[in-house]
Amino acid sequence: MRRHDHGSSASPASEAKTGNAARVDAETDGSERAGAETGGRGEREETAVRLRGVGKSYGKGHTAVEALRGVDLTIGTGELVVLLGPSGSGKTTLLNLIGGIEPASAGTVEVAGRSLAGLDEDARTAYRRDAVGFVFQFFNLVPTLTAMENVRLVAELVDGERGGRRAGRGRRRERAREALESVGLAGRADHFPAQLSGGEQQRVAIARAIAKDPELLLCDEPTGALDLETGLGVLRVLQDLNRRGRTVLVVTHNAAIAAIAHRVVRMRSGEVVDVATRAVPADAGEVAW
Amino acid sequence: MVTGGVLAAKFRRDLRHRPAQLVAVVALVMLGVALFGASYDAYKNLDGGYRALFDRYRFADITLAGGDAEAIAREAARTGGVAAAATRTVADVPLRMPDGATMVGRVVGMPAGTQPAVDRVKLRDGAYLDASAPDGVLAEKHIADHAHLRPGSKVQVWRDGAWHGVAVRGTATSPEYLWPARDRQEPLPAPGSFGVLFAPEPLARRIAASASVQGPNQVVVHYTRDGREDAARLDAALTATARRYGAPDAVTRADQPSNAALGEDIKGFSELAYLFPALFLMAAGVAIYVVLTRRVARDRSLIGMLRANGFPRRTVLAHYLATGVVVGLAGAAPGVLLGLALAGTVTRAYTGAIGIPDAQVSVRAGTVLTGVAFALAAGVLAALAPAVAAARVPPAEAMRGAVPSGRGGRGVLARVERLLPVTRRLPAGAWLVLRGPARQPRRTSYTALGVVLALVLILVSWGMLDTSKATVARQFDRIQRQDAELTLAPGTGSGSVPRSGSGSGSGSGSVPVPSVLADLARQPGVSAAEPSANVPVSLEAGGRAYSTALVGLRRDTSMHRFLTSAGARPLPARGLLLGSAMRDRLGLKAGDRLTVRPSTPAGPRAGRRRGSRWPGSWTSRSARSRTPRSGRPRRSRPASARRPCSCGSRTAPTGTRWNGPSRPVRAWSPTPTRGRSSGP
Ligand SMILES: Nc1ncnc2c1ncn2[C@@H]1O[C@H](COP(=O)(O)OP(=O)(O)O)[C@@H](O)[C@H]1O
Ligand SMILES: [Mg+2]
Repeated sequence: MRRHDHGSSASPASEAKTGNAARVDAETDGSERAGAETGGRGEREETAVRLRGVGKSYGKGHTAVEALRGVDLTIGTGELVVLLGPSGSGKTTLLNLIGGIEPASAGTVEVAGRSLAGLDEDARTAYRRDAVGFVFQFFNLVPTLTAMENVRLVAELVDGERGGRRAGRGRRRERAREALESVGLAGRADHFPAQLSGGEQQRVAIARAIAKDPELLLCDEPTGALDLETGLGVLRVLQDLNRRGRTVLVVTHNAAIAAIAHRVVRMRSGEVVDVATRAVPADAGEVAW
Repeated sequence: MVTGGVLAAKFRRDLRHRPAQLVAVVALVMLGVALFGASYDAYKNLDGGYRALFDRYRFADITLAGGDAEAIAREAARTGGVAAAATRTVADVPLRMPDGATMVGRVVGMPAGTQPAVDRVKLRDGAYLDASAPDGVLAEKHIADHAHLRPGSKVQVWRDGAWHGVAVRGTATSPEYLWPARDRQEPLPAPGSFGVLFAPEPLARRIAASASVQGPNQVVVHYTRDGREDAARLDAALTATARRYGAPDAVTRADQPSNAALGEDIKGFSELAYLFPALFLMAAGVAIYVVLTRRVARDRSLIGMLRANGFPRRTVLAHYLATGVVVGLAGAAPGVLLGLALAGTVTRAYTGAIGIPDAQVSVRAGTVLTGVAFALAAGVLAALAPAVAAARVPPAEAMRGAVPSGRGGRGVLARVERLLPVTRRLPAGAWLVLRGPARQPRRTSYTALGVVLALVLILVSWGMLDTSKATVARQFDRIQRQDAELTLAPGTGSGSVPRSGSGSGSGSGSVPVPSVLADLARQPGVSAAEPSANVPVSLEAGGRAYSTALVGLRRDTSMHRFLTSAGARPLPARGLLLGSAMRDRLGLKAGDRLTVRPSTPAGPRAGRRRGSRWPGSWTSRSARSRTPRSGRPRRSRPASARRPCSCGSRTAPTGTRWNGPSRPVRAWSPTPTRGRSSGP
């Protein structure tokens, strides 16, 4: 399954799209300035994510699917980027490559200045653990664990594997509680997922993602399974987290959500077709669909 | 096992999710371990118990019958590896119990006042033999229990044509008669049809003399520990020694009737120790596999979430493997305890039922560990495949919704559809039903396997009951068809025949049986009566020897059937018919020649005339060894006898004549043995 030709920008697919990539690049440069203006945390790496000529194909021979082709993209630290595109356009695939869930078939993926190419399975696992928080469309909460436990599940792992085993239960609990508080669910800590609404479940999932204090928050259709009202609640939480300095990438097929982004990346058929920058993103409360 | 307290909590809650399922699987493991522990420990207890018992009571390693006993004993005692060799007089004679019941009895001579060097007895009550009581005997446990003999009871022994009373001084158990088998051909004598008395040697000789046995006729030999290590060589050397002094018959410890019967019996425990536990553990394994495979399939997106969040593969593997470990251990713990308890119960019940003194029950760490290891292995092996599958779930799976996983199974169904176009007409509902199992072909086949195993478990248990019933039915309804047998005394003096009148049997085949038969046939309710002869012999061929009984029957006998896979066959006109077991043991095939030597526990002395037992009965004592089980019954001609022996007597190769009794016989022991009721 794994491809070993990461970093080869000379793949036919990316060469064929050179013009397109150049155009995107130009706009990306503009947005980097915008990102710097908004986020503006000087001591951190300016660029959170950098993709160059990234391609991804599944399968072999005549059944092969090219999910991504020659994608160039840069996300600045502290930006809130919305990845917009119809179903099947390669949004999730792109998220997987940035999150280290799958290796790219072509091109280079760099996160916080570190290239993901050439990382083996173990190294990618460690990267995901340390650097990325995931929010999934279908929440993926463990049904037999309470909200608090679902958050702690990830907090414990990070403590344990980062050599912080001594961090102590108390601190872990405290961090999990903080995460739940920041999504406004401190009061529902002992509820099981089945006792929570969809929006609450997704907020627990967000708390879980931020409990390990990741550099990057990757959200795949976070409102996809939610109605308007609860969806807006979730967006508010994401925007709030971003305003406190976190880099957030939100994947959606819902164009209305694009309003809250610093930048909107449009995709179609595995390619980035347009990148738009907003000087002043809308407040999540003003969004409607 | 499971890293992280929260993941451990998930694990515990997953286990508790379906408590009935968990309890059922744990119970299967527990039963497997318990059955293993019970049967294996019972086997070990019994085996060890016998060994200890045999050491304590100096059970003979080999018994040499006939020939010059004193000379054989002297030579044996000089042989390396022999701890002790003793001579004694043993004779089978009629006995009469206080209630008037008669039976085949065996009198075994022992030194008065002190236990013999070999084949000691354990006194249960009363007093040991004493020179001051020359007519005092010890009654062996089985007959003592059956006939309610107590110290002070009077038993009558048939000697010199009349009943003579002897006094029971006490009752005893003997390593030679833990199982009251008269000989190897009759491992299941009917209760009360056979009994053993231990008598002071002088009394035993007097009694034996009337059965044509002069002086000590047996040598019993006990080996040292080292000697037993090398028993086969020592057995062969002593058998050769015995041969040189004219003793045709050597019975090793392995072939000793009681020991052989018990050995076969407890071997069953060691076989059961693996068969049933294996079935239970396999059933448990399949259950674990199916349950876990389902859970992994259900958890795919959660596993993907864990992996996406940076949980390593080994954590996921351990998480699911832990179910197997926990179920294995949870079943093993009570299983071991139950097994230990059952082993003790089984051992005590068994030794109690058979009357073996000093039952040994011990806890064996090896059995406990093996049981736990089996349970763990079953749990881990069953959980391994699902756990590996879980560890292989890619993190990308977290991005997918609750999409049904698996290969779709449409391959199988599509093929069915293509091959059988008729199936296309099945209603959509039917396809919906079929698609479920077809989607997970492996899981489906394991579920089916689980059901099959459960059925196997039931059928095997049923089958075992059924087989034993069928064996008994075959033996007593189709092979041995007599309802009763009447045993006539060997060499009974003339003039003492109360009913059969006089018949002279000096010539070969000329016996007084016909008149007894006529008497019997006249009895109301008797539809047929036939004579048969039963002669203890040693069969030899190609350097191999086996002690058995030669049974003479009418060629057209209706009392015994010789079953082959092709149906019943008649006796051959010439030669011997051998059972397949004996054929294999002696390595014979049809047309081969073999040597037949007479031998009895009261072995004949060379040159003496000896009356064989002439049962006026419809009997075969050796049905087991003689029933041809293969499709090819054997016909063999005795090496040194021209006339085949299918009904009657002939000249034995040793020159010993063992014709029918030359004097009129007396029907002394009507022992009605309903075949089906035989066996203690
Ligand atoms: N594991 C995979 N194997 C084969 N094809 C895949 C796989 N994952 C995604 N694809 C294909 O790649 C394309 C992009 O998929 P995806 O990134 O999930 O789109 P989106 O998230 O935009 O809906 C689709 O055509 C999809 O069928
Ligand atoms: Mg998607």
